[in-house]
Amino acid sequence: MAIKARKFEEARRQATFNLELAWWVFMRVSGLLLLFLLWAHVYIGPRLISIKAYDITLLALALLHGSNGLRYVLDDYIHNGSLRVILKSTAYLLAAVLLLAGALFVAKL
Amino acid sequence: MQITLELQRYNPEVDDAPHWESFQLEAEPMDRVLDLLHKVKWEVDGTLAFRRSCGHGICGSCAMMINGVNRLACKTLVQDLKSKTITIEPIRGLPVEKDMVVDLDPFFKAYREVKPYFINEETPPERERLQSPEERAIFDDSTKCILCAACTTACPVFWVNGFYLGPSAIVNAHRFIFDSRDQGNAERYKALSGGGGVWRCRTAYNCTEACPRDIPVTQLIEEVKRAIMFNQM
Repeated sequence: MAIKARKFEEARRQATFNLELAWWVFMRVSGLLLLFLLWAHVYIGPRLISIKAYDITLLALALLHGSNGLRYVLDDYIHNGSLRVILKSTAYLLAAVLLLAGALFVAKL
Repeated sequence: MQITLELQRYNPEVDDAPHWESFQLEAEPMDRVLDLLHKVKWEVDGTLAFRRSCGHGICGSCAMMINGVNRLACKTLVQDLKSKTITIEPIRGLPVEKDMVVDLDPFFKAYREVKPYFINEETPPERERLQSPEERAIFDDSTKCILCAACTTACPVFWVNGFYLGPSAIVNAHRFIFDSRDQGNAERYKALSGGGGVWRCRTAYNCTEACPRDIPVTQLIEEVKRAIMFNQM
């Protein structure tokens, strides 16, 4: 790359490891998985499926899928740099807290 | 037939914000919307500003939002709109300079970013670089683009995201990515797979509906996504 990145945005656009591609693939795969996992969760019921790994997978996929979707929306609509950082960190923190609380709850069942 | 023409007017030297103006015109069903705009500009109000050049759907200058849909004013007949009232606004997502004239700089900046030209460092053969009709057919649709910006300014992600390259730039990248003679894909993928690239596309299909050249824009964007995915994973 002949032109050196001067801003964070430019550096991110020149990065060779393609995180955006990875997230895009994750959204498709997790979306498809969630469809079946949620179907089983709702119709067969949480009592029949008392496998902890199942519940934690469902929770983690749903939270990651949801918060990445939220990241897309915030990236699109929030143009103010500092406000974007605040909102995105709040969203990530919320997802982390929910994941931790949910995992602890499942572990105690 | 009597037609009511509702135009969104904006003069940066006088107005704080765009406003609507109404014109009553006598029109033929076979008149183009461009003819109506000419009638207003030449006979009623000479200050009306809009771009047009060829008038035959080739130059791509007169894209505007007509009755809520991005179209070329020169390719849209009054009878096809099936309405006695015709509303015309500038295409969205770009700064309005005056009336229907928008600043196309961001649009062409995205276009240049994908390097929409032939890249091949090898010494050219004695005669032309050969390509089979089948190889040529792969990118046939993307050669039809006239850079009118109707697709890009119909895209809801382009309206709100300041970094997204937009459908048109991706279509013009497709033109060279799938060209068997071209070797510049590594450079193009860099621009296309970053934060403002193809992953921002949410397949709203607005671009496909807006294209006056009937290019299946969304399908071409998906083909580029697939090419990048199989190239990088």
